[in-house]
Amino acid sequence: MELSGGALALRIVIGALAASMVFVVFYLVPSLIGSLASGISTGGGTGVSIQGMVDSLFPSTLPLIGILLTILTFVGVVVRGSRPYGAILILNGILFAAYFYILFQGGTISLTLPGGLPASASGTVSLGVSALMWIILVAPLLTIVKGLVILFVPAQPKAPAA
Amino acid sequence: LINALIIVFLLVSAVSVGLIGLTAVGVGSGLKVGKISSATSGTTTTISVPVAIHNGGSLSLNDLRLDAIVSDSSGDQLLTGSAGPVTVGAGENKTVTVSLTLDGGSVSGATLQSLATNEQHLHVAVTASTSVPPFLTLSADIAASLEWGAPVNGLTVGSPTVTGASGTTLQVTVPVSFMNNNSYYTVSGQAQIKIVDSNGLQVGTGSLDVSVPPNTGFDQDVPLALTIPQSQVQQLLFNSTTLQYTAQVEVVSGSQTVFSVDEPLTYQWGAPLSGFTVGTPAVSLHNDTTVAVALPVSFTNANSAVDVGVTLDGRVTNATTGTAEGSGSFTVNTPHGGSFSQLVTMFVKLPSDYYDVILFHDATLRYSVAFSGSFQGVGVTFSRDIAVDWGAPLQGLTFQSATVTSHNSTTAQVTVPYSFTDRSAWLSVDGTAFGVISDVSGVQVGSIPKFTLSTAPGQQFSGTMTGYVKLAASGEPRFNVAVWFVTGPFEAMVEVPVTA
Repeated sequence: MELSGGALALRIVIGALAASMVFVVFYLVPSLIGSLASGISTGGGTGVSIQGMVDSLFPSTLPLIGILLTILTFVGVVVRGSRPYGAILILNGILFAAYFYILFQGGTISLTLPGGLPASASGTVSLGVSALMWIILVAPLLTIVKGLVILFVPAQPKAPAA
Repeated sequence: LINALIIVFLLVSAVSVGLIGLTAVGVGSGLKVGKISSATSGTTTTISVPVAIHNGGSLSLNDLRLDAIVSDSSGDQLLTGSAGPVTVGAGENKTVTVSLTLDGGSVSGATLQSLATNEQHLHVAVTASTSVPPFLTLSADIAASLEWGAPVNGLTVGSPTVTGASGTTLQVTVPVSFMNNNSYYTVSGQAQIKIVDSNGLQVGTGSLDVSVPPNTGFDQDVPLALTIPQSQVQQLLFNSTTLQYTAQVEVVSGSQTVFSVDEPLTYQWGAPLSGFTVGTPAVSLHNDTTVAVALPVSFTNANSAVDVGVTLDGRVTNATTGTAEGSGSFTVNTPHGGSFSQLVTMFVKLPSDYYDVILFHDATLRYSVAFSGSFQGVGVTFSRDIAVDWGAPLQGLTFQSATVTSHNSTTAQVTVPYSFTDRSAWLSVDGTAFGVISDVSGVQVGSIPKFTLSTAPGQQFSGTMTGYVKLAASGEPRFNVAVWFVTGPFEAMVEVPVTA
């Protein structure tokens, strides 16, 4: 794969933008949503502490995966079209799949109601989201397949120009 | 192809998440709880909580089901309820009624009692489930604490006020008050009030209709009929006392007592014949064998409601022997709060068996007067002892030494000085006397011819009586003189030795 200086610069810019979006969605949001929820509950004056509930929805492994996804997204854009790109896609697909699997807690999300609710209410809410999770996981799995194809299926030689 | 599939599934994922989000928001903002109502059938009370659901989302909400259990602080199950399953399609409005059932037959009386009178925390356990096919199923187990205020807090039963009387039944009103501290429950229904005395005997009853909304108070005078047991009438006629009762307030639903409380009840009873007193009698002669005894009778009707209207028959008996000696009757009409003071006349026979005693000696005659009558339909009897001071008409009768003088050829005249005091205040000595004179061996030797006596009550008398003896006996140093006095109803003899 040979790139001109301008093309490389363009890929770096696009990669940085894509990585930034991934960084915001997959790192910043799970990292800061607990603090945001805490601020909302304090501002509402209800005394309800929903930070713990949000923390349980977004475990600490998610931001870590988000960082890795950010890096791989940037690298993937830069090396797109090369053979390592297949490996990057496989890693990217695995991390996306892992991210959503962890987010959906394997298909059943268990929530513990926060403290401070009216009537001292407490309890658990269980959401069965297996179907939604598998729908979302299809795209990352296809990405892995695409990576495998790029990695192991020889590229068809381009037809000679007539 | 793979790139195309990836794009398609990314779109599908985004659309799915979006639809679920819209449905969640749409249902959450469309939930409204309607007016809570309750209905009772037998021992079962059903509380209905209507929940209106508007599904403003794009997906159907399937098999929505809700189960609830409410139990008290000791874990006893009070209410069970369920709703659904129901399906609310996209854009549909539906009302799900959560029916909470309180089965009084399965809840112990102690639990219901505790609920009625104690503030406590109730435990609410709710299980909910629904699904948004094909993406989502939801189940929730929620526990909450419900502050339960006592519906009947601080129940007090005040002192009764008598408003009327009929026979031995008093119409009274009793102030009953309590506070409904519950925020949800309207105390409604009829309560029975029983009044029992210290022996557990029911003496009164009444009923109480209540309808007390949440967080409001109840304060009402309850009319009751209070019956005085016939066994107590006799005692309560004369003795003012504090009657101690227990008011049993009871709410029964079906055959189940849902609430029962005992409250002390006291009533200040004023005796209708308070201080019934028979004073010192005044005696006067009625006829030859009977005296009129005037008894000063007085009492106060200390009762606040009961009027005294009774005819009392008095029966006079000898306090020692119990033999009937006289009678009399009188009628009493004294309204409540009034007083009675009157001379009551009894006619009493003189004790003829003791004429020879009471003619010559002062005495205290003791009688018992038994009064009987019908008070408010109940027969009552009571007695009072009276003492009549008897002044003897010939009190202190004494004879001095006799003087014997010649009278004729066969007889000698014997003159005997004597004296007495008529101590009676009302009976004069107005009669005759005669006598027999015997020697010391008991042989009659002469006589005293009949002579008259006349002495006013209270006067002292001194005089002589004259008799005649055989001349042969005139030298005797001593004689026995027996004199018969006949005055009024009395005829009695006294025998004394006389020195010549």
